[in-house]
Amino acid sequence: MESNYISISNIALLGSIAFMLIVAFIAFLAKLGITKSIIIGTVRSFVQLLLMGYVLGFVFDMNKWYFTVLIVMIMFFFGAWDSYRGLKFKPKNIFYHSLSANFIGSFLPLAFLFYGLLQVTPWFNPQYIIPISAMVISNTMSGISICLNNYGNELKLRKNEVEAKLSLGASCTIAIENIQKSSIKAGLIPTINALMILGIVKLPGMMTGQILGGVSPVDSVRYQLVIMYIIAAATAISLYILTKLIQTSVFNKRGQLV
Amino acid sequence: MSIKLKSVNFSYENHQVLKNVNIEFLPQKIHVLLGPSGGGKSSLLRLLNALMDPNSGDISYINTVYSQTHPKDIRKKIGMVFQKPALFDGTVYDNLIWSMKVQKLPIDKTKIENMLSQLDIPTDYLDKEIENLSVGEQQRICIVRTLLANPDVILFDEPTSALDPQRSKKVLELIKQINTQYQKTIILVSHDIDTAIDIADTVTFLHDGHVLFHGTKEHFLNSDNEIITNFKHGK
Repeated sequence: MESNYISISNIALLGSIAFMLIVAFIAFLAKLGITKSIIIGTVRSFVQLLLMGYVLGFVFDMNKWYFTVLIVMIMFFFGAWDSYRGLKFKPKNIFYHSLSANFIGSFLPLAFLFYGLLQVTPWFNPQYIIPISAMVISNTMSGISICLNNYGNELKLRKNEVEAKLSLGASCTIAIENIQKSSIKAGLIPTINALMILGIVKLPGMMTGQILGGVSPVDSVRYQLVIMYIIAAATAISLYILTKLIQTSVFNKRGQLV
Repeated sequence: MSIKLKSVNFSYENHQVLKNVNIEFLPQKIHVLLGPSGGGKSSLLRLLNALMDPNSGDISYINTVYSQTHPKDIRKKIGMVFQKPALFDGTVYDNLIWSMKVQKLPIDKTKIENMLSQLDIPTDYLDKEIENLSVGEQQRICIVRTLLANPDVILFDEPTSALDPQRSKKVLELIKQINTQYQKTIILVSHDIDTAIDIADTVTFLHDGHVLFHGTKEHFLNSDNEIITNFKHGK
């Protein structure tokens, strides 16, 4: 396929802000009370992404392993922090639990993808490692947020059931099992649903980006499929680990709900 | 075989719920904990079921000191029925065998059917889904489920609070029957003197975290303590 890439000029980029002005105007007109958030969101996305573009350009040029690793670590940290800030259910150590769950859950499938399936060279090649890691980390973190909110709500609603099970001689693991199951399901369902509508209703961002960049649609699809599957695997592993880790926060050492 | 509480203090969310509680519950009796809401009755029951630990003081049962025993082992001897019936998804039978399954004990369906018959609960209930039971029926199934786990002591946290007088009476009769027929020690919390006093052997009256009275039902009914008298008269 012949590449006929049209780059976005500075004027076109600034012009795109008109779309956000429309959103802000509608919010103002309908008195939604979110006009301020829309403006902040627009400015933040503009500055953050532009900055990231320059940072990535620098990292690509430097081509050093420590820059790649640093960027990926920052993504893990800020992903966990952002999700932590929005949580209502905050048991002890939850920030570290979600960070560790995301790290372990994403690291294993990513390592398999980079060094088993794609055989990326050099091993830290930022062109592959950074964008793919970012997609996996952010999607997994969304799953973690949903899982944690569900866990908090279920624990509140079903505290009586958990205590009744403990009272009948169950271990903490058995008493909390149903809440763990439903929370893993809640966190995983958006990823599974996304698989269902892929290609029919939705052309995902990565695939669209590759096509715009001149990659053939079939090649883009191959990448997109691999990415979707790896996101599902990373989310499943992370949520499983997370629910096991939360158990140590919601029960004390004597197996009592805290 | 008695349960002893020695100098038990317990605080929850910076509020001292129980203050220097010293009581002994003798075996195979029905002990009723009475007092106004917020007096510490339910907290006391939760401490006895090792769902929480006191901040200071000791609780012991026979030779088992709570602080030195894993709550799971305590709960094998001391079961609890909660205020709100907590049945799990599935049929009545699934619920009744739950603790046996968890504790990997042999399941004897005939024994379960016999127990239901002795307690005047029709055996055809076994296949009913729990959502098809009334609240009163659910509470009775919760009681039998706890009984089947075979504890020595059963704690009841206001088991009749959601029931009308007729259904309350049935549940209290069941509790009395469990005490006489299976020789279980019963500790029952109630904020309503009329519902529970009939089946009581002893009464413990808790007010603002203190034990104001601990003794026989007869002594309680004759008590001239002002707070207790007001409580008895529904003030």
